[in-house]
Amino acid sequence: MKEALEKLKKQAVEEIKNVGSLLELRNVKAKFLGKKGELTRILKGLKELPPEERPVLGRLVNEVKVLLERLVEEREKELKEEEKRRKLEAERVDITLPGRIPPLGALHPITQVAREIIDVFKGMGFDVAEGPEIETDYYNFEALNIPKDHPARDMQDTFYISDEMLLRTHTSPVQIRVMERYSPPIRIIAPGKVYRRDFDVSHTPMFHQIEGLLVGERVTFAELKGTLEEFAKRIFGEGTKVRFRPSYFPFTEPSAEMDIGCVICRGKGCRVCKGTGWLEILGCGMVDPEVFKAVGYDPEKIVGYAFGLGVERITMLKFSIDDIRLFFENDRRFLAQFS
Amino acid sequence: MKVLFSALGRFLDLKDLDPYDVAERLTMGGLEVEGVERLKDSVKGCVVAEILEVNPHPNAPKLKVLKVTDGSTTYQVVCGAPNVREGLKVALALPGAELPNGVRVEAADIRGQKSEGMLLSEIELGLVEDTWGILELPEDAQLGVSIAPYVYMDDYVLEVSPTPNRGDCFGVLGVAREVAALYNRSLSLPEIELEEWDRPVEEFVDVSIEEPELCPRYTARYIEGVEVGESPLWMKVALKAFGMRPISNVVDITNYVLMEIGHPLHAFDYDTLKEHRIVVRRAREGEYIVTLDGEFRELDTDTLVIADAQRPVAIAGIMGGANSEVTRSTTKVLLESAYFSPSSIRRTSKRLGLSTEASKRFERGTDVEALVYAIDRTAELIQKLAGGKVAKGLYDNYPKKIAKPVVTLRTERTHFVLGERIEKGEIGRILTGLGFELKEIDEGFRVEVPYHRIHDVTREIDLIEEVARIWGYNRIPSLMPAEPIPKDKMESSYAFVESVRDLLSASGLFEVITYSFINPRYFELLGLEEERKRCVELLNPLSEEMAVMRTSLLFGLVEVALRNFRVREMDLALFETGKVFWKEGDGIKEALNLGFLLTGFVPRHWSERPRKYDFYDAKGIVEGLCRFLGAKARFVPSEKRFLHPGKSADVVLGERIVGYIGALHPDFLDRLDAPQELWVGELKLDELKEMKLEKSFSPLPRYPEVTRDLSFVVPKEIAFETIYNFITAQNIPYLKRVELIDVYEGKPIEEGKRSITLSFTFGAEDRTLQDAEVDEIFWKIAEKLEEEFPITIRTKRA
Repeated sequence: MKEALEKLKKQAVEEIKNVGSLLELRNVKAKFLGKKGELTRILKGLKELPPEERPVLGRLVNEVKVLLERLVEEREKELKEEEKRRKLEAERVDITLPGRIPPLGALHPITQVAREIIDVFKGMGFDVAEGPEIETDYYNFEALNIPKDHPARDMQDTFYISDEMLLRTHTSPVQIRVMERYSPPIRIIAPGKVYRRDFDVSHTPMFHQIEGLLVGERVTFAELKGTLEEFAKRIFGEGTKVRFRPSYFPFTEPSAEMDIGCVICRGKGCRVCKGTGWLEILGCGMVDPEVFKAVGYDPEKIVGYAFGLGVERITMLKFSIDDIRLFFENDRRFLAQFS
Repeated sequence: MKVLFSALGRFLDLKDLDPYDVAERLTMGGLEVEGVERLKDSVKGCVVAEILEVNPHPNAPKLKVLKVTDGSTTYQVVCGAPNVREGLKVALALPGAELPNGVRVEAADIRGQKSEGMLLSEIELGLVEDTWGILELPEDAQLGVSIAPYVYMDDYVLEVSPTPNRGDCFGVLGVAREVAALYNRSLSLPEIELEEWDRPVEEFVDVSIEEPELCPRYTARYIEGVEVGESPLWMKVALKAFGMRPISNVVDITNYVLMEIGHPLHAFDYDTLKEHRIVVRRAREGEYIVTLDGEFRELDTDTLVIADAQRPVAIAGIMGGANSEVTRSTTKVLLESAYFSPSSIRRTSKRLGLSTEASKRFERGTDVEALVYAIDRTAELIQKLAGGKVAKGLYDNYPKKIAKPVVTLRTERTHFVLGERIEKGEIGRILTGLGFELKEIDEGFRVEVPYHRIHDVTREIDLIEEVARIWGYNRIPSLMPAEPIPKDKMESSYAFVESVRDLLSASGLFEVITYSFINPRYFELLGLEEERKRCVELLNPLSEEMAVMRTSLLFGLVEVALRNFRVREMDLALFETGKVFWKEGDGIKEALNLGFLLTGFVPRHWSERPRKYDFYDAKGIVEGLCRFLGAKARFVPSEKRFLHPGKSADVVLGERIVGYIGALHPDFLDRLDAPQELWVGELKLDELKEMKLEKSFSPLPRYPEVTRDLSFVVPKEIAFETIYNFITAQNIPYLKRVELIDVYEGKPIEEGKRSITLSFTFGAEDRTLQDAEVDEIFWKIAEKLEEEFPITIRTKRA
């Protein structure tokens, strides 16, 4: 009997060790520990034994039972772990396959740069104003001190719709419209499309300008310089060199062009800056007294400054784009670079 | 405008001035110099040489074989010029030299004789097209050095680009004045050296001005016994540097003085002037003139002409007439130097489409005083270079005196505007240097504006600019604005449009920007003839492709798609926001639209089956936008002829149609040569902005909600919305919402029908609903649907 038990124990330990799955383990468990299992059978055979042997053997059987139960339990745990491991292994994904990107488009580079510029000025208290793209001769020229037969009209070759209506050649008419409606202080930025009859590598008949106007009782040329230098640094970087050159616009006096140190060659001289080391970025000046007269302000009491910049030019510099026409061809491969 | 650097030397001392530094200072003073050309560079590789031997060419009787030396090497050169002779100093171009006329010198074999270089004539210097012989350099020219100093090319040309207000800088004198002011040097006008004849000019000519408003001053000089011929080399080189072509000495001199003084002059052949009279008058009805450029021009009564007793002989201030042109046979010359009203010249120049060196200056305003200096200078040069007797005196008809403006400049105002305190003495020095006459007063100066600046300096602010630019803009400090930030908020759609752009670009669409003008052909191509009638047309378009203003963003988007198709970019999702334009009554309207276009495949992921864009992508864009704005749009069948009748819809907000979506009609796809379906949509953003609802909050449900799904088969012709609206109109208790979760066509559903699955959500405010009561309500809905529509319920009742 004792030998039989020993044999059984050996066999059970072996089988438990060798099962490959939870199902097999359950069968082995039933075979040895179940109600009709081997151990039960031996236990039942105990009563055939003489009473004095029963406790000894009973204890032995019990020991085997406890042992087997522990082994089964351990094996079960092992198998579960293994199964989990296998399952996880089976669930492994190829992390090198491309992910599911939410559909991503892009804003046009002109929009992106215009926004960046507008945000800089908004941060300085400028508010966005707008005006029509089809303008009257009055707002586009007359009120801005550009009378008929004025040579300055040659500076901007105009698209006409009739004698009096035209496509605005600059965003400056917004200055007039805003000043007509509001009283100083005024601090606006006016982005928008403008049109001139010109078409080559560096000119398109439509382009984007951003106009700025600050009007009040105490505004100086020094403040114009301060504002625009700050703008240049925020858009082109803290170390950007800036210079102001006298120029001419009929609606500002004194007038200036602002140049920045060439962002391509860092001032050494290259093709983009035509060897000068400087890039013309915007036109500006103190609002001409004639303009104030046109909107009914007293030019003796009210002063202000205005500036206008071309968004395409700045975008071309920022992204090193050398043909302005690309902006309006809208090739998907071009647009996708600005995602 | 080109300025020969050495020519500045007539008016100021150029000692120690570097042309590049002058260019930089001029630019920073407001007269932009776009470039500096070193003339010497254009004759690189051309050296002084001497002819040692002249031998006949064995194979060509007209050619000579020469031995020339540059002092160290002897070269053999073949040359055909008649003036070759031993001992002559010549200009030798060695192989590799690139000559001003574009020729590149190479060693060559000319009829069996090697030629190791080329002897230059004025042709190679780019001065003339034809000449009689090679250049003869001075006997004392130093062998082997550059020819530049011997051909007046040891010089620089500044390319200046004066702003439109600075007509005074369209001449060497004006530029010299700027240089003098910037370097604090003095400017001087050298005396004219003229030997006058004893017969007075009035004996020879009579000038009457009928239009003193248009011509306030006309001066003339008479010169007799002139020998018209070639100009000297220095003059030709100077004219070429100025960008002009040498013609004959008399004409060249008028051009030279035009560039030097900046004042246009004209020379008439005196003998061609009828009755030797000059009449400044308007052209008469039916009059015409053949101008110097050979063009026949009809004149109108707005055109000011210079006439003789019978006919116009010049268009005043613009161009002379062929009938009175100075020719090789001319011996008597009448010189004109006049002042014309800028706006009159400008109008005429525009009307005739004729812009000349003269008109460019007159329309900007010339110097009514300097015109005398200009005519005297011309007479001086003619006498010097072409000979002749100059009649005594200047014929000066000046009926309308032009006054010099006097302007008060307040020192304090200068500080106020500039934000920089410039000393009164410094202000005085700057203005005096520029030629202004000053009288000091307590608050500043009384400033008399010189004639060369009366066209652009008339006010105090103009003087402040003069002070600032010579002082230097970059010496003025940079400050931040001190004014308060305004309280007024501008009305603008900027923020709204930016949010729409963000939404669409974040939804996978690429923003495009297209021209606001379109090809009117699109109206026809898309069957939009009605639109054509109300579109805004440009009077002067760049081309037919850009002739009218767009009435819709559709055209630009379609064009972008077609352009991308040509480079094999077939899968596109694009949008644009921008203005559209149309005529309404007598006026023109513009409005802000949003347009989009989808075509080809939806961006593909390897895990999904490829799918093309369809109607619901287009609709989804509009629905997404409406959800974003909090607006509720309806979609109704569209009758737009350019859209596919079965795959299109108008977008309705409230009672207004605010846009459309759909596939482009196949007919138009064919006409456009579009290889695949184009889904388009357009919305009126202005109206959407008006519809934008304020977002509101409703409390979250406190008790769990219960859902039940219902599937049923329904004939396809019954629109989903009909069923949906029927349900929502039923006022069903506890029904919170109905959502469409599936639409299925195909087996096992029979042809012509589809299966629809709706999800119903129920909930109560005060308790959790029991399953039984939800079931009851739910199946009641199903029964009602069965009664109303020919449907078969597929969901099994539990």
